[in-house]
Amino acid sequence: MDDGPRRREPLVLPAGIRALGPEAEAAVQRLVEDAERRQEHEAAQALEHSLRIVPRPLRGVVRRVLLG
Amino acid sequence: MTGDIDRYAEVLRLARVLGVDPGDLAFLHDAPAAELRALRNAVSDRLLERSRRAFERAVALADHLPGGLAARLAEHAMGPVLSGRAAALLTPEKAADLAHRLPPHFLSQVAEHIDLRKVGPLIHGISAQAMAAAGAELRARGEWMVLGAFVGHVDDAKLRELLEDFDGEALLRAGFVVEQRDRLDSVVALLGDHRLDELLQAADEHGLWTEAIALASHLAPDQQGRILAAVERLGQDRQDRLAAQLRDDDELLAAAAPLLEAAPARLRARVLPG
Repeated sequence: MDDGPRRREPLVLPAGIRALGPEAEAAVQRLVEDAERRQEHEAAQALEHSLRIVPRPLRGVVRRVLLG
Repeated sequence: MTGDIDRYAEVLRLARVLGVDPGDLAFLHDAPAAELRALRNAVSDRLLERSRRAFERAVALADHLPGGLAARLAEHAMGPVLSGRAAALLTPEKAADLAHRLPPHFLSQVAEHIDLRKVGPLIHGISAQAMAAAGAELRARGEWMVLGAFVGHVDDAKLRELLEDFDGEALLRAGFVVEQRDRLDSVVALLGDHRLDELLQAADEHGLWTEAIALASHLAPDQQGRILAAVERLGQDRQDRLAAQLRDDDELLAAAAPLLEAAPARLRARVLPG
């Protein structure tokens, strides 16, 4: 269920967060990237689990819808 | 007083969206609450866009499967975080159907991860029964911020029904962290006088005068008057304990002073330090 590799642009941070300085900005960007990576990993796992959970006759439908 | 609380609450909400411990965000503690909220919204939007295609497919799958199986996939394959994020793409009808089918414990976990800016409009279709069951789970876990976030998105009729399950302590703790404060006045208006008595008794019994006074400070004169009348009904012992707290806590006294200016002279004399 991953949307695939995509170039990650840094998140545009609100002015009040940028005002905390470059170290804080960089720390926020790292946390956002970690959250994105974690979500992608969890989404990929969800796809695998979905295929295991649905009854066999429905797996074709699930595959078609989830994988396109 | 509420400025610090707002900032702290926003750090907790942001930590949940980022999936980190609030302590990891110590470097943000000086940022204004409004900026932290803007950051939280930007991160939520980013995470939704990052996996939008996957979420759209998961939602489309729910339309192709029997409702019970779709709910099972949400609970056992997607889990609460992904389900909460994908909920932004559900139709109101599908949201209501899934909420009805999901066990309250899981629904309450999903509630911790939804973006109410997007999911708020879906809530009107969810039955009071499903919301009450999930609300009970959230209260048991002390998830006051999640409960407080929903207040601005539930209509009065349903909220009146749901508030029946909140005791005085829960009302105070959730009311203290309501995100849409302009809603507080109409929420308090839904509570009968006996509920306001219960609320102030809880403030006394659980040491929640800060919460009670902060809540009252956001109300318009009519509802503030009802709170002051409830303070008068509290009884001498409880009023004495409130007076002692105001004497010992300058910040609390400063927060209570504007409220007590509107109080009858006899009440001011009883609770304000001489």
